Amino acid sequence: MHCSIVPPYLLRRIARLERDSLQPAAEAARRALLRTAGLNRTRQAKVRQLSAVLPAPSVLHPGPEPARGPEAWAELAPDRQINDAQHGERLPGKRVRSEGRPPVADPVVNEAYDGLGSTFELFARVYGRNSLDDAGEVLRATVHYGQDYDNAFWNGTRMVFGDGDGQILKGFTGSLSVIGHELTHGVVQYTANFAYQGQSGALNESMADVFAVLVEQYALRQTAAEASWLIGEGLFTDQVSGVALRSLKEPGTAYDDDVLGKDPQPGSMAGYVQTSDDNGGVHLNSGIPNRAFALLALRLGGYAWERAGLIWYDALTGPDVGAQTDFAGFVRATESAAVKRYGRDSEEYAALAAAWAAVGLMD
Amino acid sequence: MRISVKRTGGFAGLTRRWSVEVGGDELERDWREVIEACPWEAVPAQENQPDRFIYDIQAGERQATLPERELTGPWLRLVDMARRAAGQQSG
Repeated sequence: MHCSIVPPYLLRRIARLERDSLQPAAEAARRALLRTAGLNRTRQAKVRQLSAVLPAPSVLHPGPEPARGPEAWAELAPDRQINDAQHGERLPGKRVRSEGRPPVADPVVNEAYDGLGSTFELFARVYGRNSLDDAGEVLRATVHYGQDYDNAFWNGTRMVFGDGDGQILKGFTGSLSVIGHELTHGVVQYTANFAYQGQSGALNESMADVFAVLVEQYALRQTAAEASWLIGEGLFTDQVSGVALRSLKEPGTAYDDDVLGKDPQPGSMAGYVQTSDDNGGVHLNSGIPNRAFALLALRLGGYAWERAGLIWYDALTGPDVGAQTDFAGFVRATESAAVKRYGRDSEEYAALAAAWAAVGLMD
Repeated sequence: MRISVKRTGGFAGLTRRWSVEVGGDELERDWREVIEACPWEAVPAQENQPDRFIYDIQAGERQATLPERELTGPWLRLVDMARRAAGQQSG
């Protein structure tokens, strides 16, 4: 039952409005959708708990109820729409590829289409999540945004990609981790909805980075030990001395260049950056929870999306987080998630505590 | 007058700076009108969209910080002019 007067399909249409003059209405509709999604999420979480569905074989509970969830997850399918801004800044731009249509001549369109698919795959097959809102929302992307636009962003309803400036950065669809990152901002919006400022903003960024590397690792079937743990590998032009934009495993080491300087991300609370730039350093301090995740996954070994990823996903989508959650609050949310799934005496819980301690977020 | 733009945030989290020193004649001829047209005292405080840029703009004593979505009209003109001029001054 929906408590909202405006039906969800209409809210969706309003929320997608991109004309500036209509933004107040669109924002209001988005907030209403978030509330609705929250209600659905609570119900779905209950269903999930009741059916005790856990993908990792080591944690499957034997019992009279067969775990039926994952088979249903295999049938979840994405609905993708790719638009082309044709180097303008008007969104959404012209539709160039829809779900199920064959590849087009423009490789950037196909990269976006495939990247959206890979991101959908991780969330659906591993966590049973049906798109961003867990209700099958269309995945929307616009490519070729702006002139020499050296950025990619999430505007609340779609991911938007520039082609880069060609001097420092190349086109943003070239790295699957960028696509996974932007779409995860969409998942965050429908779940914890971490405010994009200060520590909650850094958590928003960190979630986007964590699930972005998991999208890549899942697509490549890489173990934690095999993975690069890099965000935006290959995005720099040859003129830049650097392998990627960020490293989850070793924040602060992704680049070191004459013009750009050195990767400024801290890997522990000792290096926490106080700044008013970048919404309070959201792309800087995200290095701290990023590294905690990488340490947890490396300590547990195997596929990072399984045990480490489940703890993070449970924390992100669970009841212990919200818009103003700070680092300490997120630590508690992951602890509670680990205890629920694996118990307080588990290897997983011990590894989690060690990971947070290593980044200075545990006494 | 020194006119400078610092752009932070964005997916890459890279900080970019463009700065230009403008002499009296040039200031009056090319810059004064656009600087005066910018609503320095009426910058809306709104939450930024994930991975969008933040612009920190200074013209002499005046300063404003605005999210990318607000970079329209005279703000956009001023930033574009500063970027172009900084590119020329630095060679």
